[in-house]
Amino acid sequence: MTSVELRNVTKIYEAAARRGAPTAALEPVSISVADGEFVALLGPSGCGKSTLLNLIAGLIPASSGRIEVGCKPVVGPGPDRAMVFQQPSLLPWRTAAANVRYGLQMRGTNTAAEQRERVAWALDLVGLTTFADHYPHQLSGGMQQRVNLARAMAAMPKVLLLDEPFGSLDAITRQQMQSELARICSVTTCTVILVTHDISEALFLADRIVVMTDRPGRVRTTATVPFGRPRPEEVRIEPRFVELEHQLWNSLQTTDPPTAAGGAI
Amino acid sequence: MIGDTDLSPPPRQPWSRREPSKRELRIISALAVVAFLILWELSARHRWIEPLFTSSPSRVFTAFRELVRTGELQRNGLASLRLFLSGMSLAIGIGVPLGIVIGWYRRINAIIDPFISILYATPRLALIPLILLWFGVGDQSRVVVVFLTAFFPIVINTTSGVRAIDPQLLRVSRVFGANDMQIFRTLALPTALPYIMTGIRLAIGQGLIGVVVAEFFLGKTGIGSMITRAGYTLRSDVAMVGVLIVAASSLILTAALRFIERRLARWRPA
Repeated sequence: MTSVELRNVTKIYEAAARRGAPTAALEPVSISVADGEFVALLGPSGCGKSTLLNLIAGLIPASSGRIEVGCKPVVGPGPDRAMVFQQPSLLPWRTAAANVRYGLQMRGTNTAAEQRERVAWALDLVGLTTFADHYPHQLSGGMQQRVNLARAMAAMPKVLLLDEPFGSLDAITRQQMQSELARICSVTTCTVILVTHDISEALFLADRIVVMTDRPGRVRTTATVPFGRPRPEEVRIEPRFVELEHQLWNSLQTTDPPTAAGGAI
Repeated sequence: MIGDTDLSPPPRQPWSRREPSKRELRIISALAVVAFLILWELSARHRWIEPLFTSSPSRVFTAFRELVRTGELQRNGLASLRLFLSGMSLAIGIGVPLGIVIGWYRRINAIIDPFISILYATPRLALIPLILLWFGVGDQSRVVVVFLTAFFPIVINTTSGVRAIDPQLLRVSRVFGANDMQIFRTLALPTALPYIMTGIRLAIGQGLIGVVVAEFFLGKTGIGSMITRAGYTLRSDVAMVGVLIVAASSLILTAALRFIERRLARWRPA
């Protein structure tokens, strides 16, 4: 079953200034993500991978092409998708629990009791039950990002969209959060699309890695990661992992035009 | 070598200055005020300056007790308080909703903004003759003057508060499918609340000016007219009592608002 299907999707941003030229953020991109699959979109900064995620989230319309989630065309945000942004973007006047409840409240499809139950479940999932009543400014950057993740998980989406979720964290916290995310994804069945520029992060978490070119973004190549999920921390030092890391690094470096088929490594 | 490290504090640089503590600064401020009062009292007692014009702390205090004894201060104070409260509640009651509406709807803002900008740039006290013409001599005119002075800080702060929504939070709410009304309730209002409180705090000072001016020109009662009458009759001590009452009210009310502001913003980093 395909969960997310992108066919020849392009995005051209209208010129901001009157005399400026419109910018092509994405050249035709086609990606198909299976149900329950974890796909990482890997590419340099500004390659349009976040644009791609915003398109799937339904926050911005595509200039052309077709985007389907669960076989239904995307026309806007929907309850089948939830997103985690790079910035924790928590409501500063709400406690952690109230922030997690925010998404459910906006949808208004659950009773108050169901909402409470889901909030408790999501906070437990990210290990923040004891911090439920803390305000965002009382939490560390890593904890804030956990709340952000819990807010998305509480909505029980079919597709979880992660936009460089650990990009603003320090290296140690980032690695801890990657393990945490791997664990969380293993207990749920949702499809995950992760945008990152961190090769090791993509290899540690994803089933499949889509390498994108510089702006305008295209699919340069696709790599299947030969490890089961969730992966132990030690996988990072396995020879195969290191080798793949090196190959992905090289494919990010190359300036050759992408192969027509968007072939595998 | 670690053993050789000199751990004694570096020699004090001649140009380095010790930062004074908060407590020390408060004591200095208090002493300055006391010194001023003593100097004022002495200059009046020794007739360095004619006390008919400057009065003196002791005379002001005596006048204060006299005014309380006759009930004149209470009567005028109450009249001013009522004027202040009517004008302020009108300013809050109209300013906050209007600020929210023009902050939220850009088109309505385009209609109303020129008028607010023009009126804000006008010295509103110059409108008193017109207000007198429109509303007559009486309570109405005075309330309008107070309203006009207190209204602008409130409406302007409320408007910018509603507009201060974090665009990142806006994206979050859109991802979760929030509609405009939900975004207004869950993002715009909480964002605007501290701005509104600041607007009201600023309006208190302006409103008190409005009260005094309104009573100068348009009233027979109130602290403002008490000050005017005292001036005409060369009672500088009574005038000083009036001025001090207004100043004290402003300080107390502003401090109270600050306290409420802090209580409402517990979620903010200290």
